[in-house]
Amino acid sequence: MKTETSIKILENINTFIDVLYYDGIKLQVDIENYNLLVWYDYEETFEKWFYIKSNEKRFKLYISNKITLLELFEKSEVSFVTRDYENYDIIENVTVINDLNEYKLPSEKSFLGFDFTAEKEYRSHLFKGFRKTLTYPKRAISNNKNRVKSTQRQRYSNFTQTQVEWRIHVAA
Amino acid sequence: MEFKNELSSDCPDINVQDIIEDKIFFRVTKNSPPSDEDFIPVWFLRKNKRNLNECMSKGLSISEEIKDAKVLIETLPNLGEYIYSGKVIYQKDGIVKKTPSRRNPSHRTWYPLVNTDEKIIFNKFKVKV
Repeated sequence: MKTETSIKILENINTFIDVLYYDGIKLQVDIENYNLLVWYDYEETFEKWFYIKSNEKRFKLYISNKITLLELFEKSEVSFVTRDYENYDIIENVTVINDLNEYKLPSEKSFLGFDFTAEKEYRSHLFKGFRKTLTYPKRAISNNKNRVKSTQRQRYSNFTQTQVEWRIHVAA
Repeated sequence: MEFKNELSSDCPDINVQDIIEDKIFFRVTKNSPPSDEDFIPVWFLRKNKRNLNECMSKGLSISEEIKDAKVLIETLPNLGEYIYSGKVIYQKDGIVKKTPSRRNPSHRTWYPLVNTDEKIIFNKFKVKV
């Protein structure tokens, strides 16, 4: 086991998005660097999380429901980290896990189950309250169904239109 | 209407839609049958309140769809192993607000009233991991 220095996720805060909320944030994904933060447990003054350094291929497989979170754990570098409530955007005590069996892990059915139809419903809910602040997706997406304008085109060339909209929306 | 937990004057947020029908919802619990411990809002679990949305975190997360609750227990083993369902009667048992999250579109926030016993309402066992 090795301990690394603290990592400020704030530096990349625009690329980290909250995916699961249930009595607090429980899962965040870094859409630029293909990392994930998965909540593990509460303590009085801090929370324990898993920090998963994935790669583009596996990250996309998880997001698109092709593999489970457990499979992602088994094929990635997983660290155990803490997040102090005072400095929640910094992950500390980064300890790479050599033996995953020491921890309670996601189940064999731990698909994210990301539903892009539901995502549309979620976005429509957001837009009701925050229409003024979320104009970026409209500017960034061209009318062409499968193409995206400007520099986003290259980065998102492998995604569908809906996926691209989602990524631009959440990064905005 | 007197809520169980002390809320600020602008909470529950009147701009967020209420669920006005009496509906069945799902709650992830650590205990079976559920105990009071399973119904403590995250605001009161933490000593430090930074990074918490006060109004939302003083309510309880519940799901309108069981499939969304299943994703939670499959993904987060320490959140709870069980899913219980319960029918929340509008205004008699409190207020339920429509608060979808990105992967949990049926996420709702429940603000029980002072005399509500949450574990009596959420008493129908559904799923264990």
